[in-house]
Amino acid sequence: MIVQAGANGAHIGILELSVRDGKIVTARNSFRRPDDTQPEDDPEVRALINEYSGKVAKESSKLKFK
Amino acid sequence: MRTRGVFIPAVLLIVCGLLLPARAKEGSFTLVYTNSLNGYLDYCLCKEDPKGGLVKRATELRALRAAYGSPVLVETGDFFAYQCDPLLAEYLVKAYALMAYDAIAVGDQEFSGGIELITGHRWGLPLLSNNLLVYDMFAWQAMFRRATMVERGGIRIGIIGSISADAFKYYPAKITDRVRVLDQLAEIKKDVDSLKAAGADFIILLSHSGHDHDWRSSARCPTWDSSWAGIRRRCSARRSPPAGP
Repeated sequence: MIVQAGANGAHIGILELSVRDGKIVTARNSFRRPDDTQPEDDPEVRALINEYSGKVAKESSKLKFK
Repeated sequence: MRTRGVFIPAVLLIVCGLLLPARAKEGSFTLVYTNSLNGYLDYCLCKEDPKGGLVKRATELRALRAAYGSPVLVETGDFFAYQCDPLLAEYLVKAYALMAYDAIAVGDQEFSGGIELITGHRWGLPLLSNNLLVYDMFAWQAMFRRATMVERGGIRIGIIGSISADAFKYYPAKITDRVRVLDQLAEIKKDVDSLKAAGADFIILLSHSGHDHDWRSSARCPTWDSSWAGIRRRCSARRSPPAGP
């Protein structure tokens, strides 16, 4: 059985398996598609992004363009 | 270095049951899998291909953990961006650490910022690669764990990470001169045997090899029967295209 979840973080794959004696008895595959509207932002990752954005802004401010 | 649109791998997950009738194990578990984030820490506002980024994925994963108890959470690589961005890489690693993956296969893009960028982060994440050697300190070294084992509902699940040499096809010499990819099938067989000996009831291969490569390997499964007796049934049972979005 081969499964994949596509590129760019667009999908999360969910494979529900029941097994017996090392063999797959049932398999159900589905996907979640998080996008810009749903679900809510994860607060911990959002905090990391804010920190990252702050560092990027700080570094960018040092750049001088002629 | 490859560029977007030239070579975008479809990273696959191969699930192989082991024939171990003597163990008589029965149970169920859920596998949650992701791949090819390509550095999207935050979501974008693209209409054509909505991308939630890690900030949305993390929320989904919390919901999936609540819904499915304790799913096995795996990633098949290319979570770093195409371009060299050490600061972004640092925050991607932090975010992945928060999400507590069980196993992450190393992809070629993890080397986009240079060898030391990913090897420097290897202790912060459960990175797996059983056939990748890196030249460091005047020697070829296996920098990543080959495989791991988790248990869900009484089922012992072995997880192997592997990468195809083709994944580095478009990389510059400064990367390829320091990376050696060993024969995939031979190394996977070693780990299948080791995991079976360690009591695995089931084995998952996180293969960072591209859609076509893995599909061809899957089609070749009858050939694997002689050497890979443990995965004979699953490999020969399926001939339909792989499940994907």
